[in-house]
Amino acid sequence: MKRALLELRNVSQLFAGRHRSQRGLTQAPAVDRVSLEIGAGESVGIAGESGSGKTTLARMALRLLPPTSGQILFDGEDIANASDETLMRYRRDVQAVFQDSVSALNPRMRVRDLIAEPLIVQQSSVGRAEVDFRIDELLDRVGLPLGMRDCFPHELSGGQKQRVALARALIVRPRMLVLDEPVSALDVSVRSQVLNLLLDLQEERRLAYLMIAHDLAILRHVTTRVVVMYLGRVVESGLTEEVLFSPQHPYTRALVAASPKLAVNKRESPPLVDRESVDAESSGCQFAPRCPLAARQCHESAPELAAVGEATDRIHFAACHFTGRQGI
Amino acid sequence: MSESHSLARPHVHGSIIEIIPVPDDAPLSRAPRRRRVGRVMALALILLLPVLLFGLFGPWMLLHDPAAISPAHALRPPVFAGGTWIFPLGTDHTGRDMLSRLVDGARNSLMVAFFGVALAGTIGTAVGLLAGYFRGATEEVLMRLVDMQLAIPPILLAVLLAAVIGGGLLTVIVTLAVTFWPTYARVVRAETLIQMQQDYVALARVAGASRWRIMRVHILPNVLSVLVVVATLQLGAAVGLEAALTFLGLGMQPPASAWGLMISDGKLYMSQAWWIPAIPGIAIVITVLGANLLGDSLRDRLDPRLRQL
Amino acid sequence: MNDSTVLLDVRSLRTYLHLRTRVLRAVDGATFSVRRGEALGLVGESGSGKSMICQSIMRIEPRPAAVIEGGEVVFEGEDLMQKDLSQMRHIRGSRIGMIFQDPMNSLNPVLTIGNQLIESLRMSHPRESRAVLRERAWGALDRVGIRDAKNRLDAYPFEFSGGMRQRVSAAIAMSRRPKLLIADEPTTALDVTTQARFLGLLDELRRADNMSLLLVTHDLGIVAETCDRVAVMYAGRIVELASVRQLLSSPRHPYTQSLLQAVPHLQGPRMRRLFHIPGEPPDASSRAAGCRFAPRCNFASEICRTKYPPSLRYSNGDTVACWLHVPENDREDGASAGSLPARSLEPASDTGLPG
Repeated sequence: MKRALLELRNVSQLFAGRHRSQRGLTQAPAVDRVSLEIGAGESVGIAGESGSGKTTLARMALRLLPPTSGQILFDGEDIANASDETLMRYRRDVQAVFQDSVSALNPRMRVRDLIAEPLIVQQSSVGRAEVDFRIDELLDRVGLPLGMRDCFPHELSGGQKQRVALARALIVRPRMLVLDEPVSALDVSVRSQVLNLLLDLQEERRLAYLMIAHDLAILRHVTTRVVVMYLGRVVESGLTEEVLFSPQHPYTRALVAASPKLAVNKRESPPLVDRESVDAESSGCQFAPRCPLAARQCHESAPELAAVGEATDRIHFAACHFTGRQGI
Repeated sequence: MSESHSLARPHVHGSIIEIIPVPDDAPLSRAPRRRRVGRVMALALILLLPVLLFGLFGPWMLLHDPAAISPAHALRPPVFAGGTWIFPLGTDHTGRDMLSRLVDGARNSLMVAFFGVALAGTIGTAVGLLAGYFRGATEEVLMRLVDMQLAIPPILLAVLLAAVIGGGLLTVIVTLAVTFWPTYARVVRAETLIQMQQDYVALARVAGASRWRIMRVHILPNVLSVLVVVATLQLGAAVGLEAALTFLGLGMQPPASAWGLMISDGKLYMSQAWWIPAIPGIAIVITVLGANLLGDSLRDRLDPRLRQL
Repeated sequence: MNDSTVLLDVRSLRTYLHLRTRVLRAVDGATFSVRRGEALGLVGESGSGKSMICQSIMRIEPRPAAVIEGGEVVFEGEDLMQKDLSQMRHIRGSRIGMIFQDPMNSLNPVLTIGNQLIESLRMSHPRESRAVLRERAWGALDRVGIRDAKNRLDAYPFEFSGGMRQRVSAAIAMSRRPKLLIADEPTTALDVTTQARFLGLLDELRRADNMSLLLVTHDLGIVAETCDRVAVMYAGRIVELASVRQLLSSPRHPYTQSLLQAVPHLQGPRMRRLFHIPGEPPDASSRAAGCRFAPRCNFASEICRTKYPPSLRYSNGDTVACWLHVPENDREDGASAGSLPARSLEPASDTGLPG
C-alpha cells in the first residue's frame, strides 16, 4: 500500500488556543485523538461547525501549533518534533491558503512581495530575475494581469486577493495545500471561479488538498474524501459522495438536512433535539445531548469509529452505536 | 477557459402590463459633499510652520546676535506695544533682541525635543515589540519595568540626573527619553498583540519566515502608523517638559538661548516688561498646540478604523 | 393585484454614499414590494446595496455619508420618506422590526436581556408596571424557544451562544408585534444547523402573527426554503422579482440564471467543473451607461451596453429589467428614457421574443 503523504495519528489538542469554542467553560479538548491520512494528489475535506476543532486541526497540520499528543508524519517523517532542516523542507512541501479576511494579506506589502515571500525566505540565493519570472508565471496561471504586481491588497477584490494568496502558496512548488475556508468570504458569483481554479491546479500539479469548509456543497465539488468533525472528534469519514448522500452518523444527517438547498420551501428541519449539554468529564458520546437516537448506552460510553456501509467500500467509518439505523 | 456548460437563453414568458423606464443617470439631491481636506491638519501646519522654519533656518534668519548684550537697548517693548521695528518683539533686560532669541531658542528646543522623542521611541518600540512577540516571562518583566518607570516623576528624575552629570542639553535629552519611552512600549506592545492575531503573520510562519523577519517585515510597519501619532503628540509634550526643566535650571544653561530660560529670566520683569516671559510662553503654547493638532489629524488619517468617518 | 395586499412599496429608492473622494451609488433606483403575510427574499452579493435598502427603509442610514437621494417607501399607505425622525421612532419597533447580522453586536452587553426586552416593550405599553412587562418579556423569550426563559431573563448576552442571541434579537424585534420584520443577513454568522433552526423559528412566528418578512441574504438556498417571492439585486437595482418557484424553474434575468448555475449545490450530479460567471460585480462608484450586468452577460447586445433596460412589470407582480424580455416593437425607442412613457399593455399571450 502506498504510503500516505500526510498522516495524523491520534492527534489531540487540549487547549483551544486562540479560537473560542462554543462549549463555554468546559475543559473538553479542542481536538480529540483524530487520525487522518492524505495521499499524494488526493483531496480530503474536513466538515464541521464552529467548535468542531477543524481549524485547530489545520493549524496543527501546518505546524503552527504543536499537538499535545499524537504524531504528525509527512512522507513518513515526524513533523511534530522535527529538526529545523526537516521543518524547512516541510514548509516547502506544504503551504496554506486561508479565508479571505482583512488580515489574510499584509496590507502594506505589494502583490509581488506577497507572492515572493515564501521563495525569498526559503531560497535566499535565488536571483531577482528568477524571482520576478516566477511571480509573473504565477500571476498568469491564477488569472491575474501582470500589471497587478505593484498593487496593494486593498486595491483588489476578494476574488483577486484569494488568487494572490494562491499564487503565493504555489511559488515554492508545494506538494500539498491546506485550505481553510478558501471561498467562504467570497461573493457567490466569484466562488465557482476560484473553486475551478483549485481543481485545475490540482490536476496540473498533482497537489494534495486538505480543505476545511463548513459548506458541504463546496466540499462535495472539490474533495473525494471527507471527514466530519464534532466537538473535536471525528464522527464520520469516507468518500464524499457516500458520506453526503448516505450519512451514517446522526450529526452528519443533521448537517446535510440543514444545508440550504435550491428546492422550493422544502426545508428539512435538521433532526436535532435540545437537551442539557454534557460536561466534558462524561465518558459518553459528545453528540448525545442533541441526538434524536440517543439511548442510555450513548450517555455511558463513547462510540469508536467503525466501518459501515457495503463491504466493497471499506473506507466509510462512523462513530455511533446505531450506525445503519435511520431513526426511530 | 473551457466551459463545460452553456446557458440557454432565458425563457420569455408572462404577460407584461407595464414598462417603466429607469433613468440612467439620476441627478443628485445636492452636489456631492466634499469633505474639506484636513481643516485641523491645515491649522496645525500653520501653527507649526514658523517654528519649523526657525528651527531649520534659524541661523540665517537672525536680525541680531541673540547673545549680544546691550544695556542701552534694554527693556524695549515690542513693535505693537510702542516699540520700533528694529526690535520687533522687543528686548529683554540685558538688551538682547527677543525675536532673535526666540528663533535661536527654537532650534535648541526642537532639537532637544526631537532627539529625546526619537531616543524614547527607539527604546520603547524595542521593548514593546519584544514584550508583545515573546509574551510569557519576557513580557512580564518588561511590562513591570514600564510600570516602575512611569512611577518616577520626570522633574525628580531630571534633578537626579543633573546632580550626577550636571545640567545641560544631554540631561534634558536623557530625561525626555527616559520619561517617554514607557508610553511607546505600551502602545507598541498593544499593537504587536493585535498584529500577532492577524492571519498574515500565521501565513508568514507557514512560508518559513524567521521570527526576526516577521517582526521586521510584518509587525513593525503596521505598528509605525500608531507610532507616528504618538511621536507627534509627544513632541509637544517634550517641548513643554524641556521648557519646564530649563526654567528650573536643569536644562540648558545661559548664555544659550532656550525658551524656558527666557521665561525664567523674565519672571522678575512680569510687571514692567511683560513681553519678556510672555512671548516665549506663547511660543511654547503654539508649538505644543500645533503638535497636538497634527497628532490628532494624523491619527484620524492613519487609523483604518476611523478612516471612513 | 389588490392594493390592500401590499404592505411595503418601495419605489425608485436611491441612497448614495458620499465618501471623501467619490460617491458610491449603493442603492440606485430600487423598486419592489412586500405583501401582507409574505416572506420576500432580497438576494444580492456584496456591493449590491441590499443592506443599505434595509437601513434606508428604517431611516437608519449612516449619516452624514449616506444620503437618501430620492424615491418613496410607502408603508401601509404612508410614505416613510416624508416622516420626520420622531415619527420614524414611533414606527420603528412597533410597526417595523429589524434583526441584524451580527449577534455579538446587536445586543447591549451590559444590560440583561430581560431589561432589553422590557425596554422595548415599555414603548408599546407605557403605563404597565414592571412586573407585568416582565411577564410579557418572559412570554417573548419563551416564544422564541429559549429554555428556562423565566430565569434566563436575568442573564447577560455573553452567556448565550450566537444562535441564542439571534433568537433574543428576534424576540426583541417582534415583542411589539410589528407588521413587518426586516432581517438583514440574520444567519450569516451562524452555523448551518443553528441557521436552519433559526429560520424555522422565524417561519413559525411569522405565520402565527401573519407578519411579513423581508429577508436579506446572499444565499439563494435560504431564500428558496424560506421565502414566497424573491427580489434579485445587482449593482443597486432590482433586476428580477418573482415567486421562488418561478425563479428556480424559469429565471428571466441572465444574472439570476447564471447565479443559479454557479452556486455549488448538494443536489444533482457532481460536475467536473462548476459553471462560473466571468468578471466581478461592478464597483458602486462606476457610472457606466447601460445594463450593469452587460459585461458579464452571455446574451448582451448593443442596446444592453448603451441603455439601461426598462423595468417590465407582469400581471402577477413579477418584474424584470432586461432587454431580452422587452417586446420587439418597444425596443427601438431606446432613444431616451424620458420619451418612453410607462404603458399598460393588454395581457396578450404572445408578447415576447420567440423562445
